Amino acid sequence: MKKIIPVCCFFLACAILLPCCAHSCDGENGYYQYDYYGVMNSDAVLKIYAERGDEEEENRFKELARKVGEMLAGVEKSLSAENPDSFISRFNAASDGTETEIDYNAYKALSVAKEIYNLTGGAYNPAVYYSVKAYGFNGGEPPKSAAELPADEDIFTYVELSKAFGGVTLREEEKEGVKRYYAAKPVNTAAESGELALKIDLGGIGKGYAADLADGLIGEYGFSYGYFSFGSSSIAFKKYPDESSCYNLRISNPRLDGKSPQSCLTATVKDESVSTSGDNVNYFLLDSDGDGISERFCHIIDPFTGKPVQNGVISVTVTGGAAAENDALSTALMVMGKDGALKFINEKLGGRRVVMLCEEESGLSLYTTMALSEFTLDDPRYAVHCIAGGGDVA
Amino acid sequence: MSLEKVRQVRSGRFFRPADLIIYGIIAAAAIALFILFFAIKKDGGLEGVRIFVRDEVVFEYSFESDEYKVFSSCAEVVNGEKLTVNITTEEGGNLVEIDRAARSVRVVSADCRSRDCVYSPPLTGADGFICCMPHHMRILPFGYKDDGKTVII
Repeated sequence: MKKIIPVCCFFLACAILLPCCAHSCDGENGYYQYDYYGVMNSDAVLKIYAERGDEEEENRFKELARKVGEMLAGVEKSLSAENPDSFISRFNAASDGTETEIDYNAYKALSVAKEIYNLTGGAYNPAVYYSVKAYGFNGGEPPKSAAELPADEDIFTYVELSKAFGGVTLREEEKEGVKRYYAAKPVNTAAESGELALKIDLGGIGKGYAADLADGLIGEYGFSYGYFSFGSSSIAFKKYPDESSCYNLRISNPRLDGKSPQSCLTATVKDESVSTSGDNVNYFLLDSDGDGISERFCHIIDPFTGKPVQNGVISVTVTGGAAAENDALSTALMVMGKDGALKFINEKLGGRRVVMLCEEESGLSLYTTMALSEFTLDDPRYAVHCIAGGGDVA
Repeated sequence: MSLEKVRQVRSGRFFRPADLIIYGIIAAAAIALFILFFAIKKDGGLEGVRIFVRDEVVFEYSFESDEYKVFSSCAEVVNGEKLTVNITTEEGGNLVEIDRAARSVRVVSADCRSRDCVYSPPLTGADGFICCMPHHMRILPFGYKDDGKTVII
């Protein structure tokens, strides 16, 4: 009977130690410092884990937060298609066949855009400026009736114009130790469209590009734990304060019915960037064909049709690689549709984790390159399909 | 303890029938406590919300008591089938809708450019929040705790 004493001690020790472990993970020795930003018509948060009572570290965080603010303002000034003084606006305003001097941010973002445009066969194309504007997604008013939707002949013109993005060329030169960057429009982009000329909108990768820069700044200032989230669509993660653990990344549920959970899936992440695109953000509902059923018009424009994506893919999340690339890739996968996206993921995205949510005739589906053990399904309405590689879907 | 006694203990079996009964009782107690814990634990539904403007609570509503409190003139309430709260800040306004039947809270309109808060999923539990950065307005559920570990994209 005396052996009962060690057994009781064991249970007692567990009861005492387990809450202690949980408490230490909760941040007894450190805490998160925040800073919020409102730029590019969206919000961003910088969240860095710091040692409690370390004044030098607190000051370093303040300096980092200030730098991130400056960086975001700089990116907006470079990439905004709505700001007439931005470098992208200067490029948009230039005539066919002319070269425009741009800054480093615009050059790098355009380089990523060109790279993903080529990789995806044009499924990611930032030259959908006119369609974005026609559907009211650049801050304008969306159409309120079918009659207000853009006419098919206008959309056809926009599609033809967007094809010219493949002909945009970039170059850099160094004179007397100063680097200069240039972007040139191809000739005759406006030949078929009368007054209109090629214009681009880098909204599809702007947040991801800024998240990459913030990630670099966090490292430069010597912080290893925390993350930078931009508009909840691009996040650059550092390590989790307890290095044996990870952040829990919950992917928003794009089809809520009042009872369903806010997220459809939870996976662990650390030291990587994540970007997502979905038709549940910035959209309007409209009965365009008079059948009494409203269709969803989202801000993601299919460059091949010039119209909002309506192909059954409702959200795509990509992790691994740079956030700007992930941002563009998630947009491209939305455009490709389920079958095209699965083929592309198998052939070209071997090193990245992808979660694709679809609305199919059979119901909601979730396709992922992750193994079942790598995530938990939060919303059981989604039928899970693991992309097994080699074009297979298990 | 004599050496004889030590030898007796060492030679004895670890589990005697009486020991097993005690272990069984402890295991049963542990299982009972586990079940009890989950039985009395709330189902995670939304109990209520607080609306903050620039870190100041301006409005509070409890689904449990169906009572609300207004702490600032920037929150105006219309009490109908659904409770609507008109938040007016220096930067602009948001219309928040509290659906008693669905036990959910969402932002139905905002006069900012991004309208991210309008597109945010409705709050249905204590594990999320809605934020309108341009207006510095946040809606947090009762019991919301930022564990610093969970991030929603």
